Amino acid sequence: MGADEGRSRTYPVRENMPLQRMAWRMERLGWYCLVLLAVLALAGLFSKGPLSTASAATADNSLRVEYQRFARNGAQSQLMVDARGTGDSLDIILAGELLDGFSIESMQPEPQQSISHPGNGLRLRMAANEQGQVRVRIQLKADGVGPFASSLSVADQQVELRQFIYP
Amino acid sequence: MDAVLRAAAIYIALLILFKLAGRRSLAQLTTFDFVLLLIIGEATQQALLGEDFSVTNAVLVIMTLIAIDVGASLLKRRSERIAYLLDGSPTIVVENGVALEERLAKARLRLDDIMESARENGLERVEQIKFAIIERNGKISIIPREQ
Repeated sequence: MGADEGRSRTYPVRENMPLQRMAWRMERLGWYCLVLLAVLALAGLFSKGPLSTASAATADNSLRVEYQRFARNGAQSQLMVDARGTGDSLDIILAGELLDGFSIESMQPEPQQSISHPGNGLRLRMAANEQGQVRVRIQLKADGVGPFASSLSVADQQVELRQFIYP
Repeated sequence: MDAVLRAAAIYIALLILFKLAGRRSLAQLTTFDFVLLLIIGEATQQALLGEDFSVTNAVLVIMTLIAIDVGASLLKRRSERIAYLLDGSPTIVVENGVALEERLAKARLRLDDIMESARENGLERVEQIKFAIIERNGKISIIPREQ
């Protein structure tokens, strides 16, 4: 800005041009931040997007979980569990903080039995199909705020989930 | 507890966003701007109340918003710097018939916008303007030259 335009006038109003220029600069910086945030939101930083969709599996692939890394308080998200076992049913154990941060809205298919597990976990007895497979979709609603670490296990296989819930 | 936190968070977020939108958007409120404001209100409402539609929650939210607003106005009285930060200061954009182009550009205004206000004051040419000032609320004040 030229020297004359940058000078603070005192009449008819008292200006503070250094502060005003800083305000204009902050404004400009703010616009870039807004665009950046919108791009990050599209990428999934605030749930539902490539950055957020994650999957975890055990080494032998007998248990595979697809989940959202980021969730928002009050919003729903899905947890998909693929498990393989022998016999006509298998137990999926949800443990850790999952049930502190989320409440289970619905589950497809429904478990045959739902039993509390030591700690604050939940043991779900699921019916397996002819191939010994179970695929269950769990609809979660985020209640908490902050980071939540939980684990899912079938037999002795376990996967860890780390999720973050935005306020 | 969360009613107060929600209201405070929304207040601050809106304060920052509207600050970024600049004074200009408030100055010339078009029909579209008006609709946009309604949509912003709608988007805010859910976050403010959550799923709690009780009278208590509503009162708590309103109480918090008013308390913060009063608090902000008290702070503004006490400190000129905070007042400036929250409200900005008036900026002269035409001086003795000469447009200050760089200031206009920074304020995202064109001379046409100034002339629009000038015509409302019965002025025809930029030379007839002694001062044009963008006020803190985004309105453009025109002070004519003495003939």
